[in-house]
Amino acid sequence: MLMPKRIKYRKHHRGNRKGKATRANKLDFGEFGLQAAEPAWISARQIEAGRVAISKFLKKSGKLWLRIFPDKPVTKKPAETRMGKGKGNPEFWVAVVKPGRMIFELEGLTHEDSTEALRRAASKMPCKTHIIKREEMDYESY
Amino acid sequence: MEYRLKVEERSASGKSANKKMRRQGVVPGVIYGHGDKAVNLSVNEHDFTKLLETIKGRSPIIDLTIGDKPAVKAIIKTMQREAMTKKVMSVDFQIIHAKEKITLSIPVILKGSPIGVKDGGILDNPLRSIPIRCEVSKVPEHIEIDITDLKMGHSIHISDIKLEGVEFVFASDAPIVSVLVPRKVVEEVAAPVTEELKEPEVITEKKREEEEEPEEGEKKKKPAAEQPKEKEAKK
Repeated sequence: MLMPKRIKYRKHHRGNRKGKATRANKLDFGEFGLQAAEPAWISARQIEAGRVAISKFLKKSGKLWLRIFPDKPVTKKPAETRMGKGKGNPEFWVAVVKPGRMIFELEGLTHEDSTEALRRAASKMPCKTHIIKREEMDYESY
Repeated sequence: MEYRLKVEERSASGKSANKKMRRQGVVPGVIYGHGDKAVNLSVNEHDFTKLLETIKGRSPIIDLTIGDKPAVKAIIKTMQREAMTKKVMSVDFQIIHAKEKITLSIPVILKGSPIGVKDGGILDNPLRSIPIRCEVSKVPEHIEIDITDLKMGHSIHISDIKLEGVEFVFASDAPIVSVLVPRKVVEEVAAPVTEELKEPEVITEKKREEEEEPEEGEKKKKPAAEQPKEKEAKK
């Protein structure tokens, strides 16, 4: 599963998920993409499940890009523990996703296959998503 | 083909004024050019989206009429869209002067389906628009590339395109389109997930250890300095 190799601090604050994605909010690599419509914490396990769902459907055709990386550690206190005694231990890693963020990008497939692959990946995501198709000419790419 | 757009000069600027304008169906914009003073504009959203649909797949020169002034030639330099709704948030135009060299991106249109894809290859198109530098009169609307003869593992580079009077901004060996060889499918043997996740290396802990080392040295010295005092006390 995805996680950073080196980190500066073991435990993070929870942070906030307000606002919209200001970066990585458009298709930069592929023809089709899966875009988040809600804010969410997407765990490394969910990203992996989405990736496996797409690559199983693709088999050996097409090209896939992952546009998010789980770089935020989430801690948890053990069960039946009294409050206090400090912050819990890091349990899993998440990617903070805001509305508009591109999660996956695909290329080299037909329209039907791309949408089906992304639909399967979308079912593994903890938030609502949209399937996006590239416009013919994007002036943002200047 | 000629493309025309009528815009108005605007005096109001800033976040709240722009928000009000967008609510009324007007897109804030700006026009600038080499040696010209930047002028703030207000563009009718309906007219602009109509124009965008007509110029889809092209990078044309637009005749821009600002108020009652005579029309000027301009290009759409950049445009910002809202992440979710894809509504146009702002638009930048650049005035172009005749005989002046300008830099702009030209869309690439691929024609045909390559032989390599029929053989099982994957079509990869990393450059969908190519930045070029040329005189205004020589700006092509788009670049068409015939890819029917493209075999698996082969690619078309910028150096393969021949356009008179056009300089390419990118390196000549940059691939525009290629047919990739599909990767081999390796059956993954599911490893038991009994092992706990290894924690990543923490950079700050190293620093702390380094800082602690000299402190320990100081601690060792301290008792040695205190010893004579203790001896004196005993006396």
